[in-house]
Amino acid sequence: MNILECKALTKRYGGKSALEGVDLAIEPGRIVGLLGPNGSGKTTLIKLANGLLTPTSGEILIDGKAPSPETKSIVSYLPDRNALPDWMTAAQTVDYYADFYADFRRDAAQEMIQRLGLDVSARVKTLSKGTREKLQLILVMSRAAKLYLLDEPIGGVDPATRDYILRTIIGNYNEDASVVLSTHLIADVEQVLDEVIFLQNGRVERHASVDAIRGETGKSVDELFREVFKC
Amino acid sequence: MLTKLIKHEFRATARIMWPIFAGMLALTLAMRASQNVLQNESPWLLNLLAILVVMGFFLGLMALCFAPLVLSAVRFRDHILKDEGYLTLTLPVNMHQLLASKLIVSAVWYAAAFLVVVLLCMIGAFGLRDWQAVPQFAADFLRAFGKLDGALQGQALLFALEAFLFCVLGVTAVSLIVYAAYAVGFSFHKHKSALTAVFVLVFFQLVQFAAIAVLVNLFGDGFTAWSSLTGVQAGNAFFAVALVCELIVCAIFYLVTYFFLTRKLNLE
Repeated sequence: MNILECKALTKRYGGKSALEGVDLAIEPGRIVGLLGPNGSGKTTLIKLANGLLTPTSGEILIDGKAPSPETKSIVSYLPDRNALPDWMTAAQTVDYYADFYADFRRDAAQEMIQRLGLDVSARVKTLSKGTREKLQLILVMSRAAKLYLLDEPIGGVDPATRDYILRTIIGNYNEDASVVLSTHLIADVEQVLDEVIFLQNGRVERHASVDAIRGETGKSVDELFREVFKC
Repeated sequence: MLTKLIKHEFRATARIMWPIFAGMLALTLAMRASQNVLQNESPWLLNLLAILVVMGFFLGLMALCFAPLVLSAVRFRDHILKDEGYLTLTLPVNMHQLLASKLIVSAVWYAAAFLVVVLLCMIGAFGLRDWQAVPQFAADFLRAFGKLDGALQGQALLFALEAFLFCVLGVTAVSLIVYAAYAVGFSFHKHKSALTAVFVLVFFQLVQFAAIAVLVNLFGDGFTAWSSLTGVQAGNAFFAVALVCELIVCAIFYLVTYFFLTRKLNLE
């Protein structure tokens, strides 16, 4: 069964269309790049999968079910902003995740926090932007989820942090799970992707495996992206 | 999951409420000390300070009455409608559990604030002899209430229960009106806070109009129907109508909040 499936999925904000008739399916065990320029519908698609938005028409299914508390228990979501409560300490954020998610691996989180050299008694609001992002990523990747939805995990960070984030994702995800990561920094993630989905103006422009793209076009995903989305 | 939500809701709100209670206790003690200053002949500056402390105490008491509502509203906005909402709304819990946890914790803080206000007034007003008389007063009150309950064949206890439910539903309705205003106001793309303020005023005004309409219908015929009832019957009838009205208000604003949070959610 597909872990994520969209059937004629459409989302409009007022009269403006963010996604238009999207059909796609992602199988378990795949790392998928959701690629597209700003405003192409990447974040909208991820929000719909998390139940943060409701479709205008069509449907989106997680493990065969519409978004609900049940699907949220198997989806680990990294939003494109800091969603951790500012007043909590790092230790309290770990408790928070451990309380609500049955698949949360406290030992893995503690080990990553220790390796990062983060003081667990430090409040989130006292951490730098980069450290907050790392803490949030650690919490998200410490879950043994079936689907990881990572919205712009490497956007707006320095190259060293980018490497740390990618290492953390690759080193900690549940191997039977799928990872969907949205970005427009393709060169940095290309080597870890199995598949890519190109989104443009709310439509799926292309959905193919990285190997197929290289074989068919003789180009890297980054080169093809630049060609498809040329301004 | 509801108990976990309540636990974390208490953790998030207690860090605000306990310091407020502690601050008010300190202000009350300062007010007691200032009374001694005012009773003796002191320099004008000390007298002025003492008067300011007494005024601060009464303003603080009024602020304390509103603290649970303000805290509940701010917490609702920050936890659900702002960036934290990305975490809160992707927890494996449903919206009913989320709203229930907020309403329960909010009601508990209202009750705690009421008890603290009573306690602070006692600390502010009572001397040593008054405190010594408190156990006797409590025993006398309970005895008198027992006699009244016996005379009214259990109706006094029923009235107390109805009054308690009236208060619980009242604070729940107020919280839900504010939640609904936030849910509607934040569904817009611009001017979310301003629109929320407008909806708070509109919703409270609508409830007020509805309450006046109910009262006019109940007593509009010059108490004719009520005059045939005994005092106890009239009391029970009044509470029944009031509780049903509060339940209707709660249901309406709960549904508005639920609809906008599930169907019209518009996180930035």
